[in-house]
Amino acid sequence: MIPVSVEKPVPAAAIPANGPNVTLARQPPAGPAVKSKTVLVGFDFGTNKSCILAGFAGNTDIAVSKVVPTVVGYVKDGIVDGIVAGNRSILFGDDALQNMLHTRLIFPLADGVISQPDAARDFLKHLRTLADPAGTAEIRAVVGIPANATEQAREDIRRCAFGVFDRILLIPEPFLAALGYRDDGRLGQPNYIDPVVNSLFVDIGGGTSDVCLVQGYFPKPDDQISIAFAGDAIDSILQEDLNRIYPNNGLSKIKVREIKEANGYVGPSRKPLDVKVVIGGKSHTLELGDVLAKAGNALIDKLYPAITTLIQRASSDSVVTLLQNIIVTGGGSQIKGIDTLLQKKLTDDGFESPKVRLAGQDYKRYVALGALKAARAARENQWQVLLG
Amino acid sequence: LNSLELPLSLHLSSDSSHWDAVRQIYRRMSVLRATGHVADAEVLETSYQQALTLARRRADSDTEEAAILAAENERVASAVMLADLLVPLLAERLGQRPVPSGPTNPRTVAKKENEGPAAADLPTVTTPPRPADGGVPGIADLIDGMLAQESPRAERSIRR
Repeated sequence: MIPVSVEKPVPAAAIPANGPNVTLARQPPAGPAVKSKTVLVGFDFGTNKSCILAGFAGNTDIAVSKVVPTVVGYVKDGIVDGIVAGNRSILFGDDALQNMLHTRLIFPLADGVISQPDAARDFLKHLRTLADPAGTAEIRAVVGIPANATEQAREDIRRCAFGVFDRILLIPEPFLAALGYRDDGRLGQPNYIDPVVNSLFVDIGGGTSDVCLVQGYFPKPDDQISIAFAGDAIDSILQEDLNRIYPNNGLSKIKVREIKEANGYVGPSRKPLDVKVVIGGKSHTLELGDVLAKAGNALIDKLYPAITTLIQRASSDSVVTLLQNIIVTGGGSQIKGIDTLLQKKLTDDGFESPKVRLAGQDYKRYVALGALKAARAARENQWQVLLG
Repeated sequence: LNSLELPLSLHLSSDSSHWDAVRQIYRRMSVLRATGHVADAEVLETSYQQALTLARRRADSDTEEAAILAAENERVASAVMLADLLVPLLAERLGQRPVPSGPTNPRTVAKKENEGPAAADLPTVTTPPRPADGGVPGIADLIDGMLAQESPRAERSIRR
């Protein structure tokens, strides 16, 4: 697990005066041709939230640990000086969301892959400033990609990363989640099942849900299933139903997501489930028991067949232990009841004593942590150098 | 085989010359076509035309354009020929089916660090490593497994 104390602030002297969310114009100049130090980065490029962990090569400290909403805000023309802190022209993450009135918000990813290349590139540049505020280090980044990502999706990441990261490795996210979830301190203990040895990882993100057999070797394509149905799809169902039941509710996409994150669940309808919202400046209470159940259970309908498919592909020697080690991670792991429902469905379908667990409170960081572990372990000839 | 690992070709930064961009995209398209990925090459056509238009605007003559395209054609043809020669030689020397040790998918845009002569790129992994005794290979070995999985596609492409 990630020690609580790993998040260490970058030395203040190294941070640009305007804080981590710098404008592009204020970025440090490009580093010298020969870079004096190497920073390793584990990067989870998520559709809704991204996580970056970084540390210097040669030690195990994590110098930077940030979760940043994957959004770029381009400040609109004509905004009066002083409205946006530092009069920045581009904002990132929470800063962008907090200034949404004054910015044009762009979400660089959709369905787990880059859909807005320019914004994605700006976002990566911003993350680089977090990992290397001075702009002088060589940056080597392991970047998580959806299971079964297409060549085009990989290509798009490389294009955006060119000139931002010096070397990269693209590795499927569920495998990185298993690496990140692995408790290295307990390896070898008799009662500890190493998730890298034998587990089924279910990583539910914003754009995709990835299911992956991790069995001590690098997962083959047949060991991974990626479904283009995840948090965003649940939001869409929720918003459609809200618009149908409560026309002209005016609830934004971001507000709907907040409602889901606070109240989302799967399983039988929990009525009444009252949710307070402000519509047209007035407080309203909406009964969302059925709506939330429908949206959440739609995910289960898509996810469960993928899980059983992969379980049935596991060898007879490994499947019993595998069933004890089904781990749900990603933002979707926060949907109430998802572990219980999946376990019940597996049990009802006759699978042998299945045990479905949630990855826990660090779910946002496991992919990035696995990526950082991979970055630290990668051999020199495994890195890909992006050349212009 | 590493001739397939080409520089990133699509980044048209304001710092690089326009002809450099033309050269890189054209090289990528040539490799894709040479390895049977015609549709992928066509995807790059728009970027290529944009880069070419920009470069032509600043060109005094079309001599440079012709020279660049000819050089890239020659370069790709030489690389394919070299790969054709090396594959059976390496297979014979190793006594096994050759599998590149790195990502040699034609669409891979990266170049391995410390790339040396062909002999330095001999395969080190032929199949994804599996634990024989219940143990787990190291993370680097697992990454090797990932890279080895990417290579058969490239190999098939070369043999088309």
